[in-house]
Amino acid sequence: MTRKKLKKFRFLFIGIFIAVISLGGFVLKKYFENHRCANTLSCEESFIVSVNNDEKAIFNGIVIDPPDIDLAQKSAEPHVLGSESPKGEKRIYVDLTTQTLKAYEGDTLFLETKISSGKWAPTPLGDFRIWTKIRAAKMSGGKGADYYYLPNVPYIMFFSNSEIASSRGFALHGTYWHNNFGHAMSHGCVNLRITDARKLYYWAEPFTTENESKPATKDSPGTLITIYGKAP
Amino acid sequence: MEKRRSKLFLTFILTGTFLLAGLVFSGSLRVQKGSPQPESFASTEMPVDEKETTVDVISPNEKATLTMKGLKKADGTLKQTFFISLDLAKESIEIYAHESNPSYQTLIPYNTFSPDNKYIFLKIEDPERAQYIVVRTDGKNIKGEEKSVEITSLFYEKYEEFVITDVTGWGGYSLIVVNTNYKDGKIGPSFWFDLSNFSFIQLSNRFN
Repeated sequence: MTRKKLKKFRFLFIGIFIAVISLGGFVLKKYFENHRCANTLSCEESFIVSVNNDEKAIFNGIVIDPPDIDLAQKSAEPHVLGSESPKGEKRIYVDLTTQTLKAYEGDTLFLETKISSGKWAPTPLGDFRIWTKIRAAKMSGGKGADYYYLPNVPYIMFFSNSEIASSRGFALHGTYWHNNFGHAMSHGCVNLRITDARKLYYWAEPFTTENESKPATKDSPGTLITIYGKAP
Repeated sequence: MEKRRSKLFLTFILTGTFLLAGLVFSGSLRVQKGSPQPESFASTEMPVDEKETTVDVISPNEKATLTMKGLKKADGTLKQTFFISLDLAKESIEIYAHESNPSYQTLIPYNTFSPDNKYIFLKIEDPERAQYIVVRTDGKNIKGEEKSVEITSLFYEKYEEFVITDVTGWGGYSLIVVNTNYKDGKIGPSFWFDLSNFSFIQLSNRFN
């Protein structure tokens, strides 16, 4: 009798089993997608200042020489304490649709330039704050033909918010391995020309002096970044 | 008597107005017929000064400057000469020159420099089909005896089914991004133009 009943519901059990497995897989996939680092192989390493002038970089399957970084060299940038600026609050807007960035101090435009946002992985949308600035670090990730290994990534401004944890490693940073700005080219970060990244690095909060890396604090919170639009 | 005088006056005024209108109209016709004249007139009796313009473009890493000097000659032709100065050197070297009708002028694209500043690419306007060329920044020949490589012709020699829509920049130190459409207008693939062997690589991704 019980056997007969079990036989009757066998297909129902199999169906429920498949549904549970599929749902579990979907939830796990979403979880890993949402917690995946922008630089999958070097997320933690990217948060530490590192200069590796002897190393080679790999991008698009080609071995290249990264530019040397000399932390002892003085920056030519004028250092103005942003929080004391009479012009107003500093804000950075990144438009993924037009692949452009605008930086304002109050109503005054400080910088307008082209960027490259996520192509192989999306750049997150929303309002973020810069939580730390790192003068140079190593970034690596991707796999197969998309594998990249990039020492000496300059002028990194990591950003996060309550939904996108700082541990995920999204940042605005200088880019030496491509020059295709105005077009999506990154693994989630916002790529900038080195000249623009340097200007932004010394302009944005938290305030930094010569080649310094610095986390945001209560007294010196990171500049607000708004990312919107849709990458083409 | 008074009435007669005012009638005569009115007739006189009207006739005068018609005559004046007629003269103005015929005069304007004469000017229109003669409108092609001023060009040659201007070029012979009022020579246009040669105009020189200079444009500087600094590389993304700020280590090279591309200078374009454009000279618009009195005969209407445009001579454009391109110079490079590397690593803040005071001296610049000439790397490319082009003389043409102004509608075929050479433009400097936003992403002109290769990431290592060893090459630049330029766009030559053409009412029928834009041309893209690559030049070395050290002034040496890029291929055999050639100072420049023209991407467009090389592409169409190999891929007749596509139309180049844009050449946007550098995907790597020696890889130029070429976007295409199919001839029927459908979105086509992107290609790398690989300077290491002057060949094209069709990509699975499109770099919009």
